[in-house]
Amino acid sequence: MPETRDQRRMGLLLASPAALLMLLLQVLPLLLVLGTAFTDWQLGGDPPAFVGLENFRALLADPDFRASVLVTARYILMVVPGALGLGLGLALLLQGCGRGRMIYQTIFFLPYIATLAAMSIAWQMLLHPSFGMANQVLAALGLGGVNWLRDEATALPVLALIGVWHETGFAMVFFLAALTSVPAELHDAARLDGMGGGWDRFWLVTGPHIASIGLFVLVVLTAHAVMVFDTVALLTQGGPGNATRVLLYVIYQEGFSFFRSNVAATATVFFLAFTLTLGVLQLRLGRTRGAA
Amino acid sequence: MTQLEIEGVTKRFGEMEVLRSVSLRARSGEFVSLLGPSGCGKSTLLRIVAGLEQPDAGSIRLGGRELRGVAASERDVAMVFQSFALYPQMTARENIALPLRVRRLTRLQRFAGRLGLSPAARRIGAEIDRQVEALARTLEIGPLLGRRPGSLSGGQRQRVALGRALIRQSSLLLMDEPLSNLDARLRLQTRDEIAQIQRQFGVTTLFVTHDQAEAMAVSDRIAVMLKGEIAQFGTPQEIYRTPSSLAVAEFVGATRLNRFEAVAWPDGALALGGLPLGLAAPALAGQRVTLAWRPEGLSLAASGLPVTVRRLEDHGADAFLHAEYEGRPVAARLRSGHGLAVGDTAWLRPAPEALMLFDAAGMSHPCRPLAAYVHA
Amino acid sequence: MIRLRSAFLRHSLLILAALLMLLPVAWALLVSTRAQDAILGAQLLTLPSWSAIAANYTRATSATPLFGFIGNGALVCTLILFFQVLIMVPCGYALAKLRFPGRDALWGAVLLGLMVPAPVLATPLFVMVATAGLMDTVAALVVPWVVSSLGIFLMRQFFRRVPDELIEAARLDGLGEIDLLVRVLLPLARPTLGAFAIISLVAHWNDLYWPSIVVTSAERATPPFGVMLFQTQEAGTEYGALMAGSLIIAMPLMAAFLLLQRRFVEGLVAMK
Repeated sequence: MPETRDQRRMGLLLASPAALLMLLLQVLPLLLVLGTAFTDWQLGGDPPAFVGLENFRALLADPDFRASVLVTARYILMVVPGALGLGLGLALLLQGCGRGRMIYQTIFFLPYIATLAAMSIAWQMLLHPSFGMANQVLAALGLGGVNWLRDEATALPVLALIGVWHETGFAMVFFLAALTSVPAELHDAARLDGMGGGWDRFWLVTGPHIASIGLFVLVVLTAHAVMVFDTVALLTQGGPGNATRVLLYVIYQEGFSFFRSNVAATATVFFLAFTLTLGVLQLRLGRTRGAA
Repeated sequence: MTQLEIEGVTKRFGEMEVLRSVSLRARSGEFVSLLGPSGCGKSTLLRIVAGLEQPDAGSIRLGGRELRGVAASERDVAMVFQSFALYPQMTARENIALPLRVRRLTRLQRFAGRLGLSPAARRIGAEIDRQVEALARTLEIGPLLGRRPGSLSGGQRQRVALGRALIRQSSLLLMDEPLSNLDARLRLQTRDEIAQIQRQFGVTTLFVTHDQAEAMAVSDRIAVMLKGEIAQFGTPQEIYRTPSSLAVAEFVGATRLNRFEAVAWPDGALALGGLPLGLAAPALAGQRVTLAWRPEGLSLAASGLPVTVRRLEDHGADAFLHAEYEGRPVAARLRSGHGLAVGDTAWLRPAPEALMLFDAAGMSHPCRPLAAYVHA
Repeated sequence: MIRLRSAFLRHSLLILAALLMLLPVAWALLVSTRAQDAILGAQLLTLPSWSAIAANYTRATSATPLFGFIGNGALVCTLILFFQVLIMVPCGYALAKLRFPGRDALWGAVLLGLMVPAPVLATPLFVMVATAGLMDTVAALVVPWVVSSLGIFLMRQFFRRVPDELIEAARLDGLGEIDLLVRVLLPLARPTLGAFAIISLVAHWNDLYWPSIVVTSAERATPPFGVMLFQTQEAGTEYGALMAGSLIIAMPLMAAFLLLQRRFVEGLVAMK
């Protein structure tokens, strides 16, 4: 379109619905949440007054909030390495597997698609203290049962296990894509260069090739894990005690059960800082991956 | 002295027989091209020589050593790949040095050397470095050694890949369509450089290509491969002037072959459209034959084959005539200034010495001058 | 021989992994086919009874409006996807092929939007929805998500790969900008749109967080929120029925996945 005037008008016309809606549904809420974090506003309460950094100070001093950050961190540290390692392992097993590969892949990916809320109930049945399979197996071995979701020691690890179950297939799919994109000629070249052993070639050819995707998957899995909510809401409601009170569940309770909008907003800002960091990393990694 | 000996190599992929008892001998230092259309089995043959595929039957000897059962990594063979296959995480220097490091250093030394722990490893490493530098100078890639493949152009990657293949001074160099990933101008330049470097290093070379001009330009000898067999093995001149079959004649050569169907006279004399050629092939007396000339074998004359001019291409130094003879296309290379125009009738005279004669099965046959006509 | 053994080992490990992955679903199926006293008595490995199956599944559909949840889910997801596509296609095209004031700012906003996860927006959006008096409406479930940064991003990347010559040729053929978009470019974009549709459907069908904030009644509940309602009400202790209900709710997406699984996987990989 050579006439730039026309082009300008058409561009504005086509982009304006998206621009206006983004302003209303993304920019405005972001400003709102940032603004609320600096006031004493509570939904349905008095008009807001500016309180500076008071909310942040209070939140950081709150032992419950600090505990929830710790709980979230522990959850991430269990889920991410678990899903990453298992995903890579399954991908490596699937990569040279001729027959049945598609069936395996489908089964491994199914948990990621399946509605997690509904699947949480299935896990609840599996872990039920009286008739759950876990305790039935323990009983058969002559061991006592565990109340998995009501025991402070096991509740978070069990949620992490469900998280790993949910995310492994997701990680696997990326590793599988990376593995199949290793050029066959590189393996041939390595053999002629004297790398006879499969293990040597893995480190020379396959390893570097999947390292970049591994980093990318790590970031995405962390972003998923920090947003854990469904299993907590359905299975433990943050309990027992505060053992599974993850960050997003705190925000949920503060904002939508207790209606302390300022506290929720402040926690959200923390949450945003973390996810934005991950987002920048993800975009960076995604971009370099695209260029390679 | 024979360096590479391929003997009766056969390879099947499932039901498909891609190589049918292929035999080939290359002399030491010789540049041999495997030329053929895609799917003729040339790349498979190369991969079998490299040890990347196993033949179903046949043997391969390199410098007198039988290679059956020898792993690719243990063969004294280097290869330049179509995609160059450089390790993306390594610099050009590390890529070129890798084959030497793998062979001269143990795994432990490689690891310790990187940490600067082993004096022996450091000494060998320095020696390898010297060799890489020297080779890089020859290949004119010295300034690129610190860069990774991702930041090199196609031509530069090509040279690094060549460097990696040459550094080991192996007794056989394999190249699998190494020019096909370069643009047209670079391809011409690189092709000449490869030929030059090969002669400089004197390494026996097996070069796979589907481009006959490429093969003609660089090879000492060409093996034309068609449908899993070597149809002809000879110098570029032999392949071009005396192709062993119609199929080879048609595959080699930049332009279409001019083919004419005819029947040899009872005494074996040959004629084209009533025009006696002064040649005879007694063995084919009375049989159907195919007479073929390349475009430079036909010239303008006052009499001869009457053709209708359809299209003229002026190439500057010479010109190409596309014409029609009895409803079939004919091409001739003429000197410029022929004075023809589209629609004209012209007369083409075939040069008897440029005739290629094939029998009904498409196999080449010799013919000799017919004495009677010569003296008449 | 070694090859055979390694193949055996590989498949053993894979089968083991597959069984573990399927374990929760298998156990859920088992529970949903047993009567309450069999479940509580931990007698799950006996033969299932047809009467228990019938009782559980009927109870599941009568105790809560299960099909209402699924209908709501379908309605909400369809509306979201419809508006998302309607908005992202022209915007992506403008960002890729047209010069207009504010283009770079808009592109920056799209990239920022990619990095801001939905739960962050949920906190202020809840306040906006509540102030607008839209709590517990279909609008509250749909409107906040009608503009997708990911969708705009994907469309822009897609349109950038379409050669300018194609667009210029269409203009020379006399097509207007809208015609060009609808008749020429949209058919080309079908794979990208398909992949995006899958991502959008999976994300919004499975979302529990937002519905649990703005939905307060069973009439508006989407499938995951329906599961939560079911679990917390009286029938939630009837495990067979609860499990039957959860399976019914998980079914539509799983069935779609099994039918179109290659596209699901490719779509999700392509997008990240």
